[in-house]
Amino acid sequence: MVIFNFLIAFSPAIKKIGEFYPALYSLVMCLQFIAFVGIWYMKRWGLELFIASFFARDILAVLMGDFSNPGGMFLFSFTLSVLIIIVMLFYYKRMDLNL
Amino acid sequence: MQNNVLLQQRAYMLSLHLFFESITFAFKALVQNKLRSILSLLGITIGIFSIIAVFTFIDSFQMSLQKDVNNLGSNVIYIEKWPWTFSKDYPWWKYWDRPQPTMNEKDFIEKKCKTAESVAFTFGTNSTVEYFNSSVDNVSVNGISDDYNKVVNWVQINSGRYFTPNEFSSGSNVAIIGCDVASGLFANQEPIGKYIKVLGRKVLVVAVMKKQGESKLSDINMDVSVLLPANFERTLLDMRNRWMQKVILVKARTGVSNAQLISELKGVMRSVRELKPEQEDNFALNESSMVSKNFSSLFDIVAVIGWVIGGFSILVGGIGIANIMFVSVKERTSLIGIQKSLGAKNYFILLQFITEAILLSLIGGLLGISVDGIFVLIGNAADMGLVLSLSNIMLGITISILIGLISGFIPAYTASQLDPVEAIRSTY
Repeated sequence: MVIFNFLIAFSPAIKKIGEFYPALYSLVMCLQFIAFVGIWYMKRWGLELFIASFFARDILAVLMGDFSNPGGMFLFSFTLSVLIIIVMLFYYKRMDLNL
Repeated sequence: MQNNVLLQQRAYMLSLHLFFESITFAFKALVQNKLRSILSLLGITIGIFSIIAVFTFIDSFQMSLQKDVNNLGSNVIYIEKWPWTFSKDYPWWKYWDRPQPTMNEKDFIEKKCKTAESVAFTFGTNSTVEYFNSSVDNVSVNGISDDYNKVVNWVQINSGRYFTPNEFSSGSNVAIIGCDVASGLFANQEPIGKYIKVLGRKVLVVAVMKKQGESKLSDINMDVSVLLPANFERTLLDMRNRWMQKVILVKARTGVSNAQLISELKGVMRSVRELKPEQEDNFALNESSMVSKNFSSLFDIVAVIGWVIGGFSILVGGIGIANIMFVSVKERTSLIGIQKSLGAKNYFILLQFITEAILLSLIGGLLGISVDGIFVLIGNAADMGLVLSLSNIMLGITISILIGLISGFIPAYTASQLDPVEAIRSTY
């Protein structure tokens, strides 16, 4: 999903919104991917990075107007991210502190 | 406090040193296996080349289209018999019966229309233009009214002068010719002051227009055209000919939108043509945005196709880089073990391999952009007007870096998590 979203970041539709949006959007997707790797290895930095990228993506979504006119894909990824954060927060104390 | 500052400075210098050392390691690793590195970055090169080439083509075409829209006039309404875009519901045979616009209607609009700044009238035909033994075929011979150059900006005089009001009103036999007509008839001679033969009559050349090229939005090509005062051309052509295209051009006042102008023009035209309320319009009010909208949807389709092809190519390239990085980690497992046993931190190993992946991807991206640049140069040599903008170059570099980061992260992280003892013991 992250890789698919990464490709969408450079689509003409995102480019039309603004010159820097593709770069910003893809950077957030990249950080989310790295966060997923961290979560897979049960690292605390993974979850923390995931939460930070989640908020960064929401800020971009506000700027792009996704919240005022939410599509199905946006709602699905938003709900899924919230679920992941809630579930992983239960295991936060058991996660590894180290890199 | 001084100790804190010194510690901070030392940490900063150490970070910089580590960063540059990572780059050195990465560069050496790539140079050691040149063939493998080149094959790995080919996927990224092709992907970046495809995406940036498509964006370059679209941006260049859009810039050229914008120039044509500006020439047509974004605030100019064209009153014609035929519309530029056809609606599905309107029966096509009704267009045939519509009358052509007339000079009287133009004068009526000038008097009655409050939102119009300037109104012009043009009509014409194609003909051969002659000068002694030289001739140019298929020249667009257009009669224009006095405000023509105020409404549109494609009458750009290179040498000579525009028609005087007296020449317009008296219908003098004077002409403004396009640059291709001038070069075709006169070669190295000065055209101004010479008499050419147009539609069987001699006309005096008073100006030559600048080279402008063919418009993509319409069939107007001012380089192969001759402009005559309307009152003179009326004497050469049969104005009752229903197949001769006649156009009234209306430019909106500053601050007036096209919608307002169209609304008023509709009322004025219906009034001058004495149309009853239940009768449909028998004229078309065209504007340049109609045509640019059609091109806009075409651009979107081309962009999506290019992005899909380029996007999947980049994905394949990224998988190739990830694959090579796994191989690289496997090869250097014992080296990683030695580094860790000598005190290298996990983040240093991570940084080392990520830098290698990013460097590989960046080189591939820069190669792709260079190939784009070569194609742009070749295209401009063939007069295609392509432009490789800085934003597209930055986009290509950004995609390369991020693909390198994504592809290289998992192998690099795996390498950073290796146990030093197990790593030293491993045999490759």
